[in-house]
Amino acid sequence: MPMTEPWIIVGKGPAGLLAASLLLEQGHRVVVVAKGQGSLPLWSGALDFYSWDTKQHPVKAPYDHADHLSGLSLNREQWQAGWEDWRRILQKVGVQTQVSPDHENLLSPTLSGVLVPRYLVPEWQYAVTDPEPVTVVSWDGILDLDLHLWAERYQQHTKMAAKTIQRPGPQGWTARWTPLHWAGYLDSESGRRWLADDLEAALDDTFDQCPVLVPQIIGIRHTEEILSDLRVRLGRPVKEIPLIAPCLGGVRIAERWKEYLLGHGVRFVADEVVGVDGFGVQLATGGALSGRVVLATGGVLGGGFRLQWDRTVINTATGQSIAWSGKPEDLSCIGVSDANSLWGVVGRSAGGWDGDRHGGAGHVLGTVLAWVNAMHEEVYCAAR
Amino acid sequence: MLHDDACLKCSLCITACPVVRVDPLFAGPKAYGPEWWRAHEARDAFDTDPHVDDCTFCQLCEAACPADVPVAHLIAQHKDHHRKKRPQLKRFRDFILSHPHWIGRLPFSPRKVSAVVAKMAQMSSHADFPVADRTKFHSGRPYGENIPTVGLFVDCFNRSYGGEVVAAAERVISRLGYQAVLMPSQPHCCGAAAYASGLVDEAQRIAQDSAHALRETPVETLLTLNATCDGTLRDEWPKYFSLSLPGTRVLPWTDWVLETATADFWSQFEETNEAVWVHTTCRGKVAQGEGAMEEFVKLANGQPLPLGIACCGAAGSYAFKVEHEDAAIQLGIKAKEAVHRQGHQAEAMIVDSGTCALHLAQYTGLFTMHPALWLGRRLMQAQSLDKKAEVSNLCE
Repeated sequence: MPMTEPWIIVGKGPAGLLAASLLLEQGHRVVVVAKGQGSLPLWSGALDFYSWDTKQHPVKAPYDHADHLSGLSLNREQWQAGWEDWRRILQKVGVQTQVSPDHENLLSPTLSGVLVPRYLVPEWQYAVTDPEPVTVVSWDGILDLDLHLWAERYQQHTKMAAKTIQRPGPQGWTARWTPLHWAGYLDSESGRRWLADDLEAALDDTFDQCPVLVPQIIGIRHTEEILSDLRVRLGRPVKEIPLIAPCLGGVRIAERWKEYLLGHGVRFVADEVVGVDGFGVQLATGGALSGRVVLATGGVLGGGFRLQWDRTVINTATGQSIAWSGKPEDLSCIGVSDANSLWGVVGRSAGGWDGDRHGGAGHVLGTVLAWVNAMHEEVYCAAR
Repeated sequence: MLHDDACLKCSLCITACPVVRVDPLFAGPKAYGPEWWRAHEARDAFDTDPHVDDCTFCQLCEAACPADVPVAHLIAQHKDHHRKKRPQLKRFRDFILSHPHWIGRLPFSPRKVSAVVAKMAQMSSHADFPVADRTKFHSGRPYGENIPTVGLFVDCFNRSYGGEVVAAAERVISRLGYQAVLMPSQPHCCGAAAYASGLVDEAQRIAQDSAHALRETPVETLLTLNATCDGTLRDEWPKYFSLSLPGTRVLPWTDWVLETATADFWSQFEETNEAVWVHTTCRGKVAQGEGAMEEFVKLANGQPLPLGIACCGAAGSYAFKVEHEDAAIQLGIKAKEAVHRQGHQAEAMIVDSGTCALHLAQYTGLFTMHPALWLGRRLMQAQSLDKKAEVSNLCE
């Protein structure tokens, strides 16, 4: 079937899906080739950049540190527009996000009771501009969330009160339940009824205005509906605290995003890419796909690089060796964003960006934007 | 196998598992696969868990694994070890259901199993069962020497219950200028049913017989009508059974049509924008990915609506077994919810597995059919419209 040449995106983590969405909006045909799940379920769902400064102090206004973007040749306006685009795309796939009106970082809790700066936070997750007293409810068997510890650290950090309530699990609960079991149960009719009844019984009149925080187990498909029903019934907001990975927040985003792309004609090929050239990709099962290639592999799960026994590193998709110092501490800084390559590279270290310090999501967005700009420039030159 | 011991405990497999979301007693793929396997290898636990049988063998866990652990196949080993502890009656039932090519030969095929029979045979009285389809398709000998040939794998289900599907698939193949050799000549099964129930050795035997039968008619291209058979023949045979079909490329019929059909072929379908739900089965997602059937519908001028669920709960003979009733119903309800949530108006759904089609029809109330049947019908519509146009041209 002769048609316009598609874009082939290798990888379905956040960088791959973001690149696919932007291409789709520009009217391109897109094929995503990926082996494995993609790293989104390892993300809490909150997207942040520049949360801590060099002295590990929280950063309030991340745009003040736009100097970090120069390595990716991005200016502040492009950067801000990029975040708006990402927010809009998430909205299209069915994920509403909270962002501070002044484009400052919001504060959102960790599993251990510390409020950390986050830029874009899904609606289901607790996020505020200023700390306030809270009530935290959890259930037996959710071992990752230690309520006593959580409240102690929250009070220490914010000087605000935190009331904790520990409840027994529902009938049928077993010690082997993971957050996925909880979420599946709470998505069901009976689970929703139990949750609403149990929370109503648990809460008394103290702190009656402050929000109720619960572990991130409130369903997968019906989360927003459940939380808004609870708000009506309890008369106060109910929001989630993300647990350790895999996180329900990332799972929800990944599933909805993939469904959205599929519904808009994107094809997902389950295969491993073993070769890339100017014409397309070769697949492990023997086939090949032709099109323009974007590598979105290996930002988090390491799918794109292989550390060999002899301490050399190769790019698994291209077979090329990657130059590095050989020092383990430099492994995380390896970047292959090469302006001269025949394919785009997104989601990987580039421009001196340190994903740990400057934010993993910022790193994803920065590389995707840099690639989009490079592509536009190329089209502009070709048109001239 | 090389990656049996490679689990990083990242738990991504659990996020992909449809069963943990509906079955409170199912501990999940990580616990039943790699964790059980390690304990078993270390001989510090000979225990098996009865709920390992709640696994639908959809293999989405394995596809999700970043460390290449054969999660689902370790679970199949666990099932195999547990099998010996199960009641005789269930073992016998599983043995029979592991040979769908025998069941297809039975002279009866009731839509429902009565309560009495269900209890005796440990079957579900709730599930819909397939009804025999006696539509004749031709015997499988090539009919022209100068016409390029492709093999069409007539799986156990379609041989007995999907005569119309095979006939439609063949019709499209011939419209594309090829002839189809239907194979194997006798009923065989790829071994998927036995593997899913944890009868690992039996699966190997069944697959061997099937490979032997397929090698009788060497073809360059072998098209499959069901994604489970597709993944089993192409991916599992060489990996787990050391079986291969030398010189043969195995691919889904749908993908072959997408590859082969020209713009001319697609242009005959009139623009109706008929909306149709598309469900790529769990095993299809694992074997090929998603989106091919949507592309197929779009090219034939339909409007595809991806259903957006992981596994419908039919999983071959899974939903037919009494102990899986609850999980199968809950998964079926998720399919219904998915249709409801998206709120599109469409009466039909295409899905390439016969048992999934039955299950999805039961829960969504939609008219479910194989993509070959859907395209075959559109083709007939297109042809009759052509004829009408011809007649009216003549009249003028």
